[in-house]
Amino acid sequence: VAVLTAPSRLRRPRIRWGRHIEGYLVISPWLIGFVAFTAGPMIASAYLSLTRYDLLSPPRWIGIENFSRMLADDLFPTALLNTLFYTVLAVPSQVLVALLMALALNRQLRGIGFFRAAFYLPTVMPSVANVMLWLWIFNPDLGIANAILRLVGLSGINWLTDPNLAKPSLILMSLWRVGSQMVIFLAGLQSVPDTLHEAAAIDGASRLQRLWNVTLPMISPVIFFNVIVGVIDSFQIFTVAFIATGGGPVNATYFYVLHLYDEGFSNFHMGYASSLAWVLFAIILVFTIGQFLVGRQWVYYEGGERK
Amino acid sequence: VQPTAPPAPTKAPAAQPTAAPTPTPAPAAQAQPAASPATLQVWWEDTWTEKDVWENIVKGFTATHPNITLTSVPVPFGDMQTKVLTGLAGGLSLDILYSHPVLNATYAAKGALIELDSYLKTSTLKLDDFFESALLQHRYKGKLYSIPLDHECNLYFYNTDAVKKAGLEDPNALYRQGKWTLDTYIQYVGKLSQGTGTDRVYGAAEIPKSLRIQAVWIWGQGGDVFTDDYSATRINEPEALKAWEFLADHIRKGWAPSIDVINNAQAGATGLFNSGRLVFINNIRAYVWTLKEGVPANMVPHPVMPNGKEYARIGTDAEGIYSKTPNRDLAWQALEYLVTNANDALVKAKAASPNRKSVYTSDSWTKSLLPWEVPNADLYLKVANNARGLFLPPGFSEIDKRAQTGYEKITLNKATPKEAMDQAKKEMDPLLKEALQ
Repeated sequence: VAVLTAPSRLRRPRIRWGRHIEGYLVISPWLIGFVAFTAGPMIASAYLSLTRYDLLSPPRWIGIENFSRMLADDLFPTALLNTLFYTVLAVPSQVLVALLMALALNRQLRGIGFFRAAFYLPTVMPSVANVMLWLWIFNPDLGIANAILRLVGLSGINWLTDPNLAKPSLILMSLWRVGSQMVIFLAGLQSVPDTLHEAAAIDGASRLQRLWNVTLPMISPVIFFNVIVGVIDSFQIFTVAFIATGGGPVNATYFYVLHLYDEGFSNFHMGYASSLAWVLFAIILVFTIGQFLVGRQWVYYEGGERK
Repeated sequence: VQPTAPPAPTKAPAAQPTAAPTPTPAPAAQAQPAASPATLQVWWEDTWTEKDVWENIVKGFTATHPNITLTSVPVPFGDMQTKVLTGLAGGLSLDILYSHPVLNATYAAKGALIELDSYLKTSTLKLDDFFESALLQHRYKGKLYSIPLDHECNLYFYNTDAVKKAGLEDPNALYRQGKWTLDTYIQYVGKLSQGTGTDRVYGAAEIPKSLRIQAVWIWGQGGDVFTDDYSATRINEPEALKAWEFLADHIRKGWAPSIDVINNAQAGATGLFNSGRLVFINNIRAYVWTLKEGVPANMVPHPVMPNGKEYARIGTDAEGIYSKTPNRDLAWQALEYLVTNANDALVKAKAASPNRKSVYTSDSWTKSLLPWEVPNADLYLKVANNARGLFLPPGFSEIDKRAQTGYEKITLNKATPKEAMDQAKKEMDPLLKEALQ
């Protein structure tokens, strides 16, 4: 029996299992990090969202009370609507500006590398420094923004202290940091085969027609990617409002994550803050799925992987 | 101007008589033996100007208590509550904790501070030398959780040249004649607010946006912030609405610089005052040193309010014993030292007002006064006695946030005071109820 079984033992995927172990060992730093800092906290947060927890006493199970509490929370709809408003206006604006910048920089000119780096530079600026810079730009008396308005005969405006202008001002600020999207667009534009442009040109297509009928369809997966990432980022807007406006004036820039932070770390309603986080997760998930469904209609994959 | 009889002082319900009791002896006068060497950590509010003072206080304690090493950690006020409560949950190690009326009840309710009454029973520290209006802000459910390090009451500091140029009588003289009323104040700031753009001079700075400071104007109209049992807010009652109108007028009528103008000015409202663009600044004595020497200044208490009374807001920095300290008794020794010696040192450094009545007659206090403050030393004591404390319930910041949103709506003419405060009350009352559960 021993003789008979020995070969079969040898045939068992021992070496493969060993390779599995090797593989897991290689990725273990990431795996441990993921379990400890992402999956673990997510599971804990899911549990805490169903409890009353103030960090100091043990969590007390309250079922879905935290979720029903949102209906009575006066700041929940304010924060959600502010975030939606910001997302709906900021994402298309960011994508458009990044695309225009990428189109402008997608040329083989002398010194183009300098301009590409210069336009990307604000993205590597620390967020806080970026906000401080814009606080000066928007300063009603001394800022450049109002100085320009005055130059053209307009009166200065209160960019960040007028409830009607505060959100649009933050959207304007966000356009300063579209360098990452621009680089992705640039890569997309450079992957569009020249032959397609040449063929279209031979057929008599103008530059605008080539942009509309060749370039945009060819980079539609890149546009789609930037929109998806932009929406996810916009729903999580926090730093700029936390530093520049503190959520004001009159809660005009009180965004969802600011509310979540206040509930968790100012009011110590950790259970409620966790439920807010899960609702945000669900909202982003719904938006993302929705975009994938709509994306089927307009995103072109050259290999035909998606239709 | 010869001082005449000032208006009869308004006694805050909880205020103590003005007569100074026997001074509290500073426990540090004698070296305290400690059983075994220990290190204690004290947290204090990070005010950079006080850094050297605190270092000396800590050194002084260690010198007189050879077996106890005291270390001090400055913490920014805005981060304090989050750091303390998350630290409490995570096993943070410290011994003496900074407190404040905004923080005290929250810390007490969450178990970050221990009650001090049991220590006070056997202590040489005389609590009746402290102001009751201050102590009530550091009690929770009848027990004291922290002891004030100072007693900062708001007064108006003003540019005497600007007042003179406008042809107005000196407010300090008017006060001493019993004529410094709210109506007079309104006339003054209206007349003093002139010019446009970067040349505009403002009559007064906006009253800081917090119920704990705005309360004095509500009281002065005969209203209150909370019901006596703290079961509800009273911010939408007719008396309070008059106060909101008055406060919002600072912005609506252009008496006060907007937040943008304040942010533009170097050093905020103080910067505007120092540059001659702000005539009245509502501030505490601890910041008098920030007023520029070249600007001729004087001081006057809050005006007599429509209800015939005078009020002053009182702010207090305080220290208490952190509940997780393994050295409670030693921490108490250090606390006794701090609330007396730290205040003395801060007073000498012009960084605080005396926290005990007895210090108002001390040399260290009178010597700390600037020349123009010396004739007004009586006003500091009077205001200290007139100060009315407001107990702030746990979670006050969350409750106050709603009131300030309502107030902002009024200043921006987005709502009438009634509409704004009806809405704020609707949001605040459930929070208040939850906080006191």
